[in-house]
Amino acid sequence: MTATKDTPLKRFSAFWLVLGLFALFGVLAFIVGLSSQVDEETPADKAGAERRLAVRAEVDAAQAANLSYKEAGSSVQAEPSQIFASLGKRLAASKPEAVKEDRHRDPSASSEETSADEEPATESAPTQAPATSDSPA
Amino acid sequence: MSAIALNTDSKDAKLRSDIDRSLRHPVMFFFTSGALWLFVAVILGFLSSFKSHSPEAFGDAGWLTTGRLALAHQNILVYGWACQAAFGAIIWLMARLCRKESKNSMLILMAGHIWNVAVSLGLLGILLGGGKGIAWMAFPTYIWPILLISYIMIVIWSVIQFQVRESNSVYISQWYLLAAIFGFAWIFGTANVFVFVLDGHPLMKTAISEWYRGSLLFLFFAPVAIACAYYLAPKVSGRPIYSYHLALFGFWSLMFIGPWTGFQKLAGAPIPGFLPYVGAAATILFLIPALAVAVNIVRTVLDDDTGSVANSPSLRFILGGMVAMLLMGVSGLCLNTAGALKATQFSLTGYGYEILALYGFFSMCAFGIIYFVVPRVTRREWLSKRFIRSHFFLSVYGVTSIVLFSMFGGLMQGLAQNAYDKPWSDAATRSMAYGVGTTLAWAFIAFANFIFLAHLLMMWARLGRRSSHPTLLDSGHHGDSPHGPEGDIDELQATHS
Repeated sequence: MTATKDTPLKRFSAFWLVLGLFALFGVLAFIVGLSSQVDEETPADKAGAERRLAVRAEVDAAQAANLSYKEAGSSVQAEPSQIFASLGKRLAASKPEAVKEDRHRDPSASSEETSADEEPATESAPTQAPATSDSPA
Repeated sequence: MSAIALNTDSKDAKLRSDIDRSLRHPVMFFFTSGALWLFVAVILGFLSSFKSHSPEAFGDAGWLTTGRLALAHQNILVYGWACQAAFGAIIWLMARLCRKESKNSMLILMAGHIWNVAVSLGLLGILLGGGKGIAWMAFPTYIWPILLISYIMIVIWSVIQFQVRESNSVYISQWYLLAAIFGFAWIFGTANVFVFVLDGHPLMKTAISEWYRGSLLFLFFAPVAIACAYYLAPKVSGRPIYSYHLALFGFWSLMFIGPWTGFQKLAGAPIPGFLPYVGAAATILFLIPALAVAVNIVRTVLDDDTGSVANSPSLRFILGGMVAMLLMGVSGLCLNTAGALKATQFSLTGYGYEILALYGFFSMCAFGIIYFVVPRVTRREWLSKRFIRSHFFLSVYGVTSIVLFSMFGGLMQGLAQNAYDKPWSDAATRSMAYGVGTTLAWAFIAFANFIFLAHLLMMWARLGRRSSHPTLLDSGHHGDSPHGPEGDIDELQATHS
């Protein structure tokens, strides 16, 4: 009679051994991950951060200056947030109008067409000009 | 003397039958739900490929955008299909090789259901916009611990079976299975802890996610596929493995090379300079274990004069997988040189390589083991050799087309991206025809997998043939067979017992 290897004790110990090995992978990942995290700030990081913060402060100040309340002659510049409500009401109250002219539909195309239609004489003008100047006084 | 041998054979057959019966439900659950997910993944692949060249198709709903569809397709292919096919293969092969019945089938089945619920939630998360946007790690964060726990509940019993096996010898397939079992736990756990739990630089998290993809491919999917090949080649051909030493060399070279792959995707990124080179070198070196395994398997079945290669569905799929493994090695060699990496780093080529690995190599080997295992656990034979043949040829045509279109399309795309004097839109224009080809190829694969799924579902419903004669590809269902007498399988068993 041969002794069998398949005993409840052997299965139980194998279960915990395998579970322990799997858990070890996670524990090792945490140890490696936490030990490789760099909390200290390097001088290069610090210098870079200072430069970025200075630029940021400059940009913020310039933006705030441009957006602040100003009076320029008869018109007044206000912060966008202060006029959104009244501007929105005016836009919502206005009725849409049908587009009648082609240049309103396609501004890029109409500009070329308009210049060609409205100013046909520009091409001929230079050709006529020399003749005028060359004519005897 | 002959009576003793007959008695031993009879005992052996009964033990095999008992093992198959003990694992019937979990194995069939993993294979069938895996096949169902494969069909879903293929449809998602078709849709994402279609949307990549025709973005206006199927409307503009958020869940139908290319980004979400592509991520859903990749993740369902990996966790829905490939992992579950691997689980089915692992638990059945380990039980058979250790000659131990499963005593925890219900727990495995329950863990399988948990895995499937997690994958379903993950798919919904990605499609509804809650995905993480990382390839192969795109499920919402709460999914990975569920997957890890259910994985442990599925495979831990296989390691226990190995520990309490009576024989002292270890089969080649068992080396690979153990490597895959521990490999998945290590790679999946480590990558998710680093990416989702610990604080770290986003760039290093990207590097870790690329390492995860490469390592999962070479240390989980590849070992399971190779284990299936090493089990089936001698089993079906009736010949011993050609060279034990070659098998040993192939195993250790894969274990040495596998963990270093993946970093080459970040060539040029500000990560430690040696990492992309190491990744590229390791992917190139995969050709060495690939050659060792392929030579060993092919030499084992090549000298067999019983026609098993031509007749056996399992062996045909395994050989298809071996060819794809060699192509993986060769394409890894070509695509990871410094010049090729520059041209293909941000193109479709990487996708072509992944599909070659996941579908061409792993899935073909998984299909091979499924065609072998299912008749044994259901005690029914496959219904139709035409279905199996169609599945094989449509899969081969489909995967070959996808790989060729993606790799060459990606190359064209990359060359156009690097032509700085040309507009960027040239890259999309150049790769568009290849994208259309990829979409058509996914349609082929969808058809192949619909046949496979329907066939498998019929087998699970025990609608297969009640015969002891296996379904072979190049012979009729009836007549003399080297596999045993024709007849009702239950009646034959009753006669023998």
